[in-house]
Amino acid sequence: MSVKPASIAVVDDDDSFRRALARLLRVSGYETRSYASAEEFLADDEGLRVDCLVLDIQLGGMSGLDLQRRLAADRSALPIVFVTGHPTAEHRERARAAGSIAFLAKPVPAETLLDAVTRGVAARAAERARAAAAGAGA
Amino acid sequence: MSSLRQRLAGAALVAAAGLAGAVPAAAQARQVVLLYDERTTLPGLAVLDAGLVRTLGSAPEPVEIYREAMDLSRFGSDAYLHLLRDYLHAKYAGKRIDVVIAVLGPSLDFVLAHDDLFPGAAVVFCGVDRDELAGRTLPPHVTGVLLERDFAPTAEVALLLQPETERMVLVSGSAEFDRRIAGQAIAELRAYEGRFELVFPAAQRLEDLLAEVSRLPPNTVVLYTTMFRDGTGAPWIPHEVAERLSAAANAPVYGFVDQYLGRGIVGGHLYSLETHGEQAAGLALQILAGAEPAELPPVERSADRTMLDWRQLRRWRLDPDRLPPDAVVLYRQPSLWSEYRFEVLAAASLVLLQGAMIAGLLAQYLRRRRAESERREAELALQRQRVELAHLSRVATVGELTASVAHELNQPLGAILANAEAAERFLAAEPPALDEVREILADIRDNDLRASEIIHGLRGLMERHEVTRRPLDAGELLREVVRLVSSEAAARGIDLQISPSPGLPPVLGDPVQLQQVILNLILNGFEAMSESTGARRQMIVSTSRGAADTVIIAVADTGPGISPDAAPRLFEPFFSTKPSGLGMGLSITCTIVEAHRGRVWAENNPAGGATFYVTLPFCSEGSK
Repeated sequence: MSVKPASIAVVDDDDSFRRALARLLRVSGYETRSYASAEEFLADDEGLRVDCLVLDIQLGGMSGLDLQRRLAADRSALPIVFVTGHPTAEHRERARAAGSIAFLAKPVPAETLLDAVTRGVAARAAERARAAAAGAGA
Repeated sequence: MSSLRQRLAGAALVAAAGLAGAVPAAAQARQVVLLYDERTTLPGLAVLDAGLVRTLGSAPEPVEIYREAMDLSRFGSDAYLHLLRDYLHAKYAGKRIDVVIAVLGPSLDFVLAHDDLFPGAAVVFCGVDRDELAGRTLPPHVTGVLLERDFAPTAEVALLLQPETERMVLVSGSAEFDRRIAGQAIAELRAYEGRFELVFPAAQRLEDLLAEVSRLPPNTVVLYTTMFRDGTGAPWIPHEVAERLSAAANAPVYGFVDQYLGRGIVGGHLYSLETHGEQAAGLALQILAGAEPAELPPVERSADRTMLDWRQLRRWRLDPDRLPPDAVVLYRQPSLWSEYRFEVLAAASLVLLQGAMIAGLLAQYLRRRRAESERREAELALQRQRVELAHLSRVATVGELTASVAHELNQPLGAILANAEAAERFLAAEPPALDEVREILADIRDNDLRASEIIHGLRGLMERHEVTRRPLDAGELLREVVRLVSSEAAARGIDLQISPSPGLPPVLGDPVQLQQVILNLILNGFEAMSESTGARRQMIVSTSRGAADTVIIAVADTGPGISPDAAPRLFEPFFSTKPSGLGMGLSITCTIVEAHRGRVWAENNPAGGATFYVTLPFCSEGSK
């Protein structure tokens, strides 16, 4: 039985960074879905089913932090790795408080990013296992 | 219409009647003919003519003067005389001549011979002496002034000046007139027999005569009468002979008519033809005033004066103090000072004044030039200061942006790093995914260029630079600035949109300074919006075509707008609504825009917020 690779969504309004990130994740064995804005991500049903979300903070329109808040409100347990070109203490704190896996600054070394994504995917798997157990128990 | 025309015609008639009534009484001039036997250009006659005309001009009523110069000595044929008569007859047929003034004997003879030429006219003659008149019988309508030629008084003058005189040489011509005059002179000078010897040179060519008088013995004087023809019959003009004679002779030359004076003669008791003309004209005026010519018989009138040429007195070392007190010395060449004291003083002070004025003007000019160069230097210094201030302001502004610009750089740098590391992994795969690597390398190159563009833009704003003027695309300027501030906008949660109008002509300007203007306005809007809470933060920067060949750059924000009390001081230096603001941004913006012959102003938007506008004129080269 072949193991289905984990899927990662990348939301970044910078085309070239988004493309680079997707390549890095793909070559590292992940499936990727790319979105240029939070709105675009929300509009795609498949997006919400990914295993990890790599999210920029500054986006045209809804910001990454807004999207995080929105997902939390929707009771989504999607793990979020923030990658921002403009890291501020305030943003970092807000992101951490809302339960993000990591808050990374561009340019981000591949190892750091992949490590965060791995943790995100693992968290997602653990969450799914918990949900399945709870469902079985119920 | 017709009644108007009639009235106008009536008015014209009245006016014409008024004229007709006024003209004969006031404007009918008395008619006088001056009849000359010779050309009036001959010097003696010209002088006489002047006397005549001046006196006639003094008449209480206007006198119309006609002048006929018959030139009889040169044109004397019967045919000519007939034609001349007919010509004058026809010419004066319609005129009522009041007086004919006949100058010299031949004129008198002519007018007496043709008494039908000027019917009813009185005749006044002049230039005729008693001897000439002796043979004539005068009709009652003819009178005149007789010339009185004196030679003895001239001899007296010569003896006064040169008591040592032993010899007098009488120079005369061979023409009939010359001989007659000479005869009169000899008759008068006989009285001096024993006092000095009277000598007559032989009849000869003028040149020979001149040679002879240049070798006269000492204590000799020359008396010159007239020479219309020399001893060989060659014609001469008497006053020219006076000139040549005076130049050639080694003894003083005396004369008897004033027209010789100034031409080299020492002088004498001289007959004034001008005075003679005045006397004749005076007689004519009496007749015009109503006197009958018959009641005014011809009289001899003296027109003599003792007159001398100061230059000739000096030449011959003659003492003017020996002259009678009524003697007139002409052509004095006094020292400038004694004769023209006032003029010399005036001229000198004028020169001094002028000199002072020139000096003053020069000083003023130099001062002005110095002031000008000082002003220019001050202006340059001010301009340097402005440039420096603009630069410092840019540096400060860019300093504020540093954080956001640095983060802006993180985008391409982040992409480059991710790409590079992805490429390593693609290459490590079996087989290496070369197509992926190729794409990655292309992206890396693009991102690298993007990063250097940001740095370039930043450096442009940070560096000191020479202000230039070149055609610029306002839309491109907007894009460059927006690229710099986009991360700042993002960090502030501002939706920054750019809306350049396509196809605008270029503007002429300095790219860095104009970017500074746009940057200042955008950051000013950012600041404004940071004050407003809750509302949507949006900025639209746009270009459009304005009136009168201008490009409008508009920066619209959704901030709180401009308060009425801040509005008038918005562009003043050190005016700021921000507690931390230095208040130079908009002031410098204004300075730069005005240096680009543009305008900057601000308006509140109807829907809230403010819009700052900048107009810049089209680049004239670009618009053609």
